[in-house]
Amino acid sequence: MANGWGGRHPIDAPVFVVTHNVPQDWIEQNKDAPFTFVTDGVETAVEKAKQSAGDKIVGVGGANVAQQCLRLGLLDEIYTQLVPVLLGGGVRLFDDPGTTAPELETTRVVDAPGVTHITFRVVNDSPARKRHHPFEAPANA
Amino acid sequence: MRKFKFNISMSLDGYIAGPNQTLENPLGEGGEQLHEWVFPLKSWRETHGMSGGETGANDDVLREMFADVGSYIMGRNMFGGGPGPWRDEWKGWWGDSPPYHMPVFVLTHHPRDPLSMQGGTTFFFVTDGIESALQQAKEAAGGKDILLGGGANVAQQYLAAGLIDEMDLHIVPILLGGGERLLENIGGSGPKIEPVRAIEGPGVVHLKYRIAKTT
Repeated sequence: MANGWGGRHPIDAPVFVVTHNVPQDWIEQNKDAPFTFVTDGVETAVEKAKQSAGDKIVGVGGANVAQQCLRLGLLDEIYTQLVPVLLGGGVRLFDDPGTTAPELETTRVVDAPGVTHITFRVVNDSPARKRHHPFEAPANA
Repeated sequence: MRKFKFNISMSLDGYIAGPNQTLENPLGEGGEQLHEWVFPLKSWRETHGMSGGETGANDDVLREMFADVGSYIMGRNMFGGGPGPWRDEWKGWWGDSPPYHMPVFVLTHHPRDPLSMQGGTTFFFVTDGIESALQQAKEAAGGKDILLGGGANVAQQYLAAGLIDEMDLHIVPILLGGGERLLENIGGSGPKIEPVRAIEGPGVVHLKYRIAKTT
């Protein structure tokens, strides 16, 4: 989609591209670019990215890959920028969460002009969330 | 005239009810989670004649939502009772003393006489459309704000008609995967929506938007 940003991602870090088809032409034109094309799946790509990142963070872009990572339980955090426009169609971020939708916890909300930043933690291993019922006794009774 | 406000709880993936809504399970599979943030709150408990409850960000938001509101509008699907002509025995989900304590206008295709409940709630059934319901709600509100609840169908009609001034979405970080999508069928690119403020509370994010009038 971004045509490889001319060989250098805006974050200026190694990029692992999940794909079925390796774009040989692009690689020829961008020989020194730190891009690795992974054809055997998301889990392999994430594993390679983690090794490359060492102690640092691995970022994931694109709805399709993000959804796969979420379904596989590979994501720790999701950063969203909620813009109040109605697109009416296109690529949905949270499509098809799979049979077991992950549990999400909001960790940060930032008001900004024209956009709301919301960060979620993906709760991969947690005790059962406390459920509330309409006519339960109050907690501070 | 004061404001016409809309507020609803929504899942992160955009649903206000889960899949497979039934009379026994009106909010669909997983949908009841959308409203859990409300149950422990002091202000919610007060409207149901109960004491105690939590205060804090969520309580403040809910209290502010209902402050200075003089009448309420909702759709047939929110009032419940199944489709088609009314059965007299159905009086809503809320028991004998519904938590509104004000006139409530229910949009429906089927006529029904007004239903007076205990505690000051009266349900009026409006069969001639959203603008008529809004007009009646304005008159009944006596200078105060008017509040719109669900369902998705009614909200979409009001949004498409450009009649809503303010929209509050209470986003619950769950993924329902299906059900009633709120922001659909609004037509074109929809109205111009501006963020006013975002507040984080336990288990929910409250997003308030101003909607610019097109006329």
